[in-house]
Amino acid sequence: MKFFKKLSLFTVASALLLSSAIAGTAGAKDDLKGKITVNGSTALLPLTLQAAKEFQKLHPKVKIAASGKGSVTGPQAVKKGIADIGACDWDASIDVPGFKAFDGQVANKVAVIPFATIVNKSVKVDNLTTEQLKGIYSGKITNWKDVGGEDEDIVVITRSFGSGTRVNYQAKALGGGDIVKKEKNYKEVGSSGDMKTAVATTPNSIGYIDLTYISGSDFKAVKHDGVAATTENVINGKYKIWSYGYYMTKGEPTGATKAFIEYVQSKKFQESSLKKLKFIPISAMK
Amino acid sequence: MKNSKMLGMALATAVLASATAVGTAGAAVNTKAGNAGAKSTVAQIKTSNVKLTVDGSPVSVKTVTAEKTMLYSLRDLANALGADIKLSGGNLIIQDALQLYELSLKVGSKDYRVNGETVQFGTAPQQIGGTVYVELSPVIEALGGEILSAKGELSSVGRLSGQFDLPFFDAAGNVIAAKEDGEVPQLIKLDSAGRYEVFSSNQNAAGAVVSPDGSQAAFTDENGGLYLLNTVSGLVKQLGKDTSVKTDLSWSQDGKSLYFIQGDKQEKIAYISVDTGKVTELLADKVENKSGVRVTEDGKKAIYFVQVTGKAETDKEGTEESLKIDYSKAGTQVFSLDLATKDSKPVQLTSDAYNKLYLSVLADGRAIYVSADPDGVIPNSVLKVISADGKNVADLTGDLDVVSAVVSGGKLIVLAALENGSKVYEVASSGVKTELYSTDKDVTELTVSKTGTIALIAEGKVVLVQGGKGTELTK
Repeated sequence: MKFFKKLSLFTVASALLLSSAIAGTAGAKDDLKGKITVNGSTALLPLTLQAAKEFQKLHPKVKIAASGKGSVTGPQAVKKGIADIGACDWDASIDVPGFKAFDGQVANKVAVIPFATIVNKSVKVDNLTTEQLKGIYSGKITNWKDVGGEDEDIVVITRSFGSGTRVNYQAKALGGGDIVKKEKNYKEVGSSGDMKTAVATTPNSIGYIDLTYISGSDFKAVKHDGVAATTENVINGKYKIWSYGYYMTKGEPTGATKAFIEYVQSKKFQESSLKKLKFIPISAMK
Repeated sequence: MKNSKMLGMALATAVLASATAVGTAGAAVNTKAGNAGAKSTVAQIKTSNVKLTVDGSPVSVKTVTAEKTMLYSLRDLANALGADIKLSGGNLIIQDALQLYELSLKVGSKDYRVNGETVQFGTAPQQIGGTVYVELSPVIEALGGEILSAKGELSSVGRLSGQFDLPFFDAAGNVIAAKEDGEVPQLIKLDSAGRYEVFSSNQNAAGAVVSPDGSQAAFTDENGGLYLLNTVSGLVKQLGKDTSVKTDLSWSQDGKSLYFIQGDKQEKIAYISVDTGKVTELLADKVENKSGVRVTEDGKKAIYFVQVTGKAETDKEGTEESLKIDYSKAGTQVFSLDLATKDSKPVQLTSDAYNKLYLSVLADGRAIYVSADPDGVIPNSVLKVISADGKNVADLTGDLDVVSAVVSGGKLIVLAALENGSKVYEVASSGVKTELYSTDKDVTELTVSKTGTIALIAEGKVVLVQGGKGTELTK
């Protein structure tokens, strides 16, 4: 009988499998209640909202309200007591270039976020080196012909100060180089969505964004130092422009907040929904 | 002590009480165990017949009682399980029908071996009147079977253990569920007797959404690809070439289209033709964070959730002091879209602050969802119904603490939580409910086949409900 045919294989497979608890399995009479507020990284917002939908199926009486305004506003909101979770693209419990540590906050790793350099579809360049990017963002290189493209002015689009994407891009794509504000051919945007729109609609523009947002045909990701921005290249160590995404909390999380963070960190969420939103599971980097 | 062994002891007691004495072997039986070699002396042996059920079929098994333990005819058990008995070097070698398990035992010896590993009986096998008698539970387990109940129900194949979720039925009525406690999730197919196979090890397929006829299930991967899993063959084929982010897959009633939420910000509603793979955009209104799209049977109306986010603001310098967040409008709301009218605009159907889950449409065009009050003022999670014209929202079942609701084959099936356990109801359009199943277990998920059969996930186990009775297909 067909049902039996694969039994022996499965028996062996089962013996090899590690057992682990399923996070977030609710009892029928679920007692978990409360409200969780999340603010910060716009890059992490889709992940938070997807996790919220799934978590609420397990715990229907927990309300999760989320907002996005850039990474630094995550730990700031936690510090001010106006959010339970601060979504941030860097570990805000320690000093990073440009930002002091938020004392007393705990960084809970929830995702790996790859970032990519993107250009408008009009741009013919498909690879940029760290030195070329440094030149472009410092204002020393202003024409695409200087990096192998057409004779067109480069329009630099960057995220506003306080963006986690900007912090990571400066540190890893620009090798710590500056982003210098310019009088013309320069624009700052406040969110990942705005970045996508700006690069997609501005001829000869360059920007940067997390991989989650890369879709459509109005812009394209370019290689960095000859390496494509793919999850595979992040995991195999070839592509360097990525960071962990964190949920910052005031001290160790408790109650519904703790349960929600554990759900986001669970294998069930990490290996399924998180990957389908084009993030990388934190376990992939170990 | 293992549960199965405890069950085996209970079973021995139960069948002992109901056994019919069929003979007396004699005052003092001194038997040579043939080529098996061992001697056994048993006084005042009475043999009896007990009725067991193996894989649903009744069988009669001879028994004796030795050392206050009921022993069962090895030959009868082997016949019932389809196992083969051979004699080898003084040992009896029993192999199950699939030759996956080998049991080696010796009359008079407590030691026995299962696939080469030595274990011990509580009471050594006895040979009486030419028949070898053995303990029930160790032998059933050693041959890969399982004692299902103290009423003498046995399965020739042990049920799969583990933690399961996301169940659905295939077209033949088998349950397919995701086994989540392994290194990677696997889809397991279970028949009504609990026999199983690993159906798919494609971890993206966990959570696949089955078509109305059960013939295929749709899922996406991390590259935005959309795939169809044939629920009979297990073969997977990609549907179309679109690689945008897709979530919340939902089949049309005729199985010809798959609706989904599209875009990295979940801002669009689209569908794909199952025949051609062509993607058609239905709505791109720049409202982000849509989910749960459902389309009425006639294809004329879509309903969906929107997760409204809070609004964070700072001054131009982005100072910490200026940071303010307004969460007053954050939450999930229901919207509808008229698909029959070109360029129609979405209509917001709800505006309250309650959590909203499990959006579905009824055959008459009304929408239902589960509403939960996070403040706990309304203690129960309530099933709400939105009128077909979208103008009225009312409670359909205010007296149930609803866990989830499923619409299948025109029927509304509701899972409700109790203080200790769960109940499943069919709820009529009037709100009148009929209890279909009750359990003291915590049920977290429910699925309904095209013929109306229900499968549940109760405390991580897959349970098949037939005629109001639940059978655990996994352990």
